[in-house]
Amino acid sequence: MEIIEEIYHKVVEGNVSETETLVKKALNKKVAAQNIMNDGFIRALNLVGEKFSAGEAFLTEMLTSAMSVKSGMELLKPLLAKSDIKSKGTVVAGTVAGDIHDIGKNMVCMMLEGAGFKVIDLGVDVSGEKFLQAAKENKADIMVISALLSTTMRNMAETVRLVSSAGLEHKVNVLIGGAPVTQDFAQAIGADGYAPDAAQAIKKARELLHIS
Amino acid sequence: MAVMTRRERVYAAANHEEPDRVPICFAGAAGTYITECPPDGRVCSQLYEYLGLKDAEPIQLTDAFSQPAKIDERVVQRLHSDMAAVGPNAPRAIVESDGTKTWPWFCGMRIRRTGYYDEPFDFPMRHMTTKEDIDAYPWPDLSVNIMDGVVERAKYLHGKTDYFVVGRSISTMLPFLGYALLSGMDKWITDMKIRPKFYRQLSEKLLEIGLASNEQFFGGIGQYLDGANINDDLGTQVGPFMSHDDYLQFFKPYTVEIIKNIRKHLRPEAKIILHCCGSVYYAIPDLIEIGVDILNPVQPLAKNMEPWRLKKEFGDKLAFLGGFDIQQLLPLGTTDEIREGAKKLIQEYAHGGGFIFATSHNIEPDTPPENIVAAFDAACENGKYPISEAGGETYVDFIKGLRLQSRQLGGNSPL
Repeated sequence: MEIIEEIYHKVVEGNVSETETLVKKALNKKVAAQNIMNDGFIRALNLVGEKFSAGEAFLTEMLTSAMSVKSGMELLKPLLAKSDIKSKGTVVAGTVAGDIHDIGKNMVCMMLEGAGFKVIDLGVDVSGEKFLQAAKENKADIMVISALLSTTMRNMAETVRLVSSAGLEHKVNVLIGGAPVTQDFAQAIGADGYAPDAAQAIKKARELLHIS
Repeated sequence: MAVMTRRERVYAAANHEEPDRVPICFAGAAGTYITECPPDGRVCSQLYEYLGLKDAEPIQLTDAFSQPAKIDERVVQRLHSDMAAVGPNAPRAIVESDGTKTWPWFCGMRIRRTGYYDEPFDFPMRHMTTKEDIDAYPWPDLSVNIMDGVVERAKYLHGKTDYFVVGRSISTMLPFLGYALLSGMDKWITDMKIRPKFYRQLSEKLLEIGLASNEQFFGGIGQYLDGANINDDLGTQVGPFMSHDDYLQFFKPYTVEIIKNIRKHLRPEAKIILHCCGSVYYAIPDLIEIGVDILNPVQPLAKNMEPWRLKKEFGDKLAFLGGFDIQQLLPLGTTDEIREGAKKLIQEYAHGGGFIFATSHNIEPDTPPENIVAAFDAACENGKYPISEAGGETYVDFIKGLRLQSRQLGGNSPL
């Protein structure tokens, strides 16, 4: 459908205002919200994400594409809420205790939402207790924890311990990332997954829940 | 070879000649300092205690970024530093009733303690999207004197010590980093795509402010300086912030302007030192072209920033200051591993000069003091020319092979 193709291109371009205009136009034409999401947003984010991981697109492109999807999703949400379309999974996300850096976490949140997940963004400097409480209250499938500082990474281990102590280690998948974080560290603390960038975080989230 | 003065040693390295030994820098340029984060992260105080300094002056902190305003000279010498820095005497930030800070002189930056660090927050320029917003902003008074005691300090370092003297000022963070510190990193990144006209308008204004302060500072002490430190951050851990085309359009011209304006105050032999974190490999040819002489902090675990790669591709045209990993090796390694790492780093970078040993950024609160001393002592012990050839695994592979992050959870970090 032509208008969805236009939306796709505007998201890839990172054009926030034109994405919004086109989504409104599509909805006026009674295009299904699910189709806009799958063929407009998710397809575009997949492309930008692959380019980012390959070093062909950068934070500028990722952020503006994610912002385009976020603005479009605000228009789709009321329709999706009324429909019987289930979200792909529930995610609680935040930057670890003692750390206020959030660009990566924000991108992951925007992209997960655009990909059909329900996302509860807990913000920054999030204690392990707050992560756990949010996971329990929202029956989260995935807990996304981000850290930019090597000095705050240790707090991720504490959060994983809390999840395990609460008996949730088989229910809540802990997915971690951030500049100083490595696969090695993720394995050592017992996290369920690690992603080196936002694009791969979305792939990992799908893998953890065995969805495409 | 006869023992050189500190200044001769650094100049030789910066000029791609082999000095008597590899120069070392601690607290002598941006990104070569140590943090101090009371109450739980007093790494500078711990270093003082470890070195037996019972009579050091109480540590006063900078307004942002949790660094001591002054390091005890005995520590600088104990860590073999060949460089010393001088900064402006700018008006301090105001402490608000809720404990946060506002810094009118640095364009109203807002600062708050989160976790260990004093960090920017509550970004005062975040609302801006138009020229009218820029015009309405309470910009700092550029006539404020920032030079009380500064000329005297620079003259003293130049005339009465043999340090390689570096002038460094936070005003060189304008326009960038300043744009990010005052608007939020995400707004800086996205403004250049979503509202490029406004991006240029705000950048021009920030540049104007920065150049005015730089003029006062470098204009006042340029004759005494061996190095002028400027600041940009062009990369993340995994790559550039932006495409190379975007860098050329939205970033590079401003750095050209900053360097041009500082250069005219310096002696011809003085060096431009650029502090530029992250994976910046993509921009190095541009940096060389626009007159950067020394690149810092050369974060080794960032993508394409391995010492062997930078030395091989750019080592004849660019000198490197930094390189000793603080993300994993310095805080988490044993002292033996640290010594081995220092040796490997020097072997990869220091042939033919062109290298000044330093940490790959300011030393963080998770670092045992014995590790700090071991790193700098090892740099001194292994730095005598001629340098032995590198062998075995590379410096970066050595660090990665230690798997320090998985070891840390049962390790001896002070955290």
